[in-house]
Amino acid sequence: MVTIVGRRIVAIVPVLLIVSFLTFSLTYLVPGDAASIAAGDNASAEQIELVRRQLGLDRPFLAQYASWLWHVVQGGLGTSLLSSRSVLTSLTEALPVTLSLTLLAMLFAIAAGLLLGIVAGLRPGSALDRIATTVASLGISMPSFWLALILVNVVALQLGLAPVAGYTSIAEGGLTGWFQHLLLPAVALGTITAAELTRQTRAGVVDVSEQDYIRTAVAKGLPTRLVVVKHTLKNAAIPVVTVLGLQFGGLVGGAIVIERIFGLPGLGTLAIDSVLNQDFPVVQGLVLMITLFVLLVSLLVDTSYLYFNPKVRQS
Amino acid sequence: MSPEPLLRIRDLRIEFADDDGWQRVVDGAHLDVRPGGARALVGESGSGKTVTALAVMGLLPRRHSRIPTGRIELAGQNLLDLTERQLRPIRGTELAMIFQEPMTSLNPAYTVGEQIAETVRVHTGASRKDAWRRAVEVLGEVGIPAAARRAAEYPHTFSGGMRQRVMIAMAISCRPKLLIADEPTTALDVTVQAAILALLRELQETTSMAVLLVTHDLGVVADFCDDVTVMYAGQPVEEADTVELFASPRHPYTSGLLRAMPQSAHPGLDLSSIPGVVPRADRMPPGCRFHPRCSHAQEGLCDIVEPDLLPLDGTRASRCLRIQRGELDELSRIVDDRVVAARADLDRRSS
Repeated sequence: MVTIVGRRIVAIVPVLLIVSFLTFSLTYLVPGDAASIAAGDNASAEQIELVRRQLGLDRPFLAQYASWLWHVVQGGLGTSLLSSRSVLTSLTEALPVTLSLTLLAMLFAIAAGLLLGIVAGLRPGSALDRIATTVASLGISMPSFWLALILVNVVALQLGLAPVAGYTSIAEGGLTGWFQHLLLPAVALGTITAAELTRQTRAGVVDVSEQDYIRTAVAKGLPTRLVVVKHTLKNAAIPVVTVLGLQFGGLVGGAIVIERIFGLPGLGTLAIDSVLNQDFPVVQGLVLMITLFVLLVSLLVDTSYLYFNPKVRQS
Repeated sequence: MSPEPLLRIRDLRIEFADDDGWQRVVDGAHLDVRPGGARALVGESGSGKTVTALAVMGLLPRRHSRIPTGRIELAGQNLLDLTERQLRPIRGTELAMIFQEPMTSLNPAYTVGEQIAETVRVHTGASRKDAWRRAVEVLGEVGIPAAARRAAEYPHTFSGGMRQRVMIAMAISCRPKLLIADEPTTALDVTVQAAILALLRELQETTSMAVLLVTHDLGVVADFCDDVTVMYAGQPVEEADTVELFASPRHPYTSGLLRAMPQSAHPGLDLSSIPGVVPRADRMPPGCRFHPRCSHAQEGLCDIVEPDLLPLDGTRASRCLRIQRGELDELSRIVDDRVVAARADLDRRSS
């Protein structure tokens, strides 16, 4: 079991290497010149050349990549071309905001998705099932930015139940303030995932409920709660967890839009700013960090299979 | 039939929904199981025997089935009057069931010990430790070697026969009064079949647990059961003591089943079979439901008059009109070595 997890962790390294190479080359493929951006708007040709040499941009491409990678391995992501701040500092400032947002969105999605999925899956074809399935279809087809605007308009502006925008860390505003500011963005961001989870959970519960071992569980006199929570859910969990892992990447992507709408100073806002300004070191750092997170989540998902499916443990 | 039966099924009708409405798949099931006795419920696929067994457990699919009439009494109490919640404490403690497919009847996500122990915990309120100890104990009773170690393993590490033993261990963990075994050996290798049957029989004798054995295999019946009910097309057609049934069947269908047993074949001759198939619930023939397949059917009688299950002499009953009229005396019969052995065994037990 330890070796399975260990092997997975080792497998992360080549993926990170490939992604780092791709992002590094990407910045050279897009139009724009890093040296002229760093030198500022009114720089002369000589000044730009000077900056180019200072940044090492005149060296061969592979040499640049190698030295950048060497810094990255040591924990240095370089400095922003615009603000001259350390990329790592910018990232670590923005990270808690995005983590809070995606985590809350994930929790919302899990709670809503499991609940609706179980209710629907236990009685397929019933009125409750039809309602849940319809809600799920709506949730999947609704763009998150549109839902976000509706939520802001109705819940924040008309009902005044939540702040319109902005972010408060737990340190500044306490748990309540933090939660209030993130509630609407998390719901807007998590709705698609919740809908996807509803469909997966429903399908899993319907499928597992027809299995012989569920009949066995009923036949030996277990209360319905145990039959559903213990015997059905654990077997229905693998596709659900898989989808959850896949959705995490989507959540991070969605966070870029949602952070913009709610004015949250997270990775998404940082991403938009740095892309628009062609601040390559920040973009590279962002992509690497997000890749790392997505890989870690899929590692977590793979590890959870060991718990849900005993057969995996032995192979 | 004395004493008072443990399980008594009377006039049980079961209907399943399909596109054309409700189809009656069991029509007047009638069955007794004595306390500590072993009753076989025999018939081809589609005769309604498994559905009857599931009805006793209350395991019929709730949305697609209904029971318009009938009684299923367990020690005098009509189980059909009970709600799901009232039925739950009876399942596992008084009634237990094992199924045809041991490969899929155990939950792959939990150890076999846990699946037995949870039953014990739910019904007796035992602690985790005590329930686990009981699980190991019953696994030993059903012949799982190294039970203490095997209890902590998952179902996929067990063979089919061993999984059926685990199912039996689970079923007997709370000492039920009646075990319903639905084709318990059909999915197993022949060598394993005999061992499982021997185990069931041993448990039945040592724990005085009654057994209702649902099977299509009359060979199994001869090995195991005291009494037999033969079902055809959703109705019981013959009821008898096992030895008497084998010695002189009192319904042409029973006789056909007996002749179709591989044990009754003669070397060099083809195996006998009953022509045709069990009619569908929505296409029941008029008169006797078996008459289109029956070599003894009489025109103007069997295709018109709907027979009832009527008592013959003493403990026997038959649904055959011509038997009831005394027109058919000698149906082909079977006396193979198994019956001789069963008879000898029965004598030994009663003396």
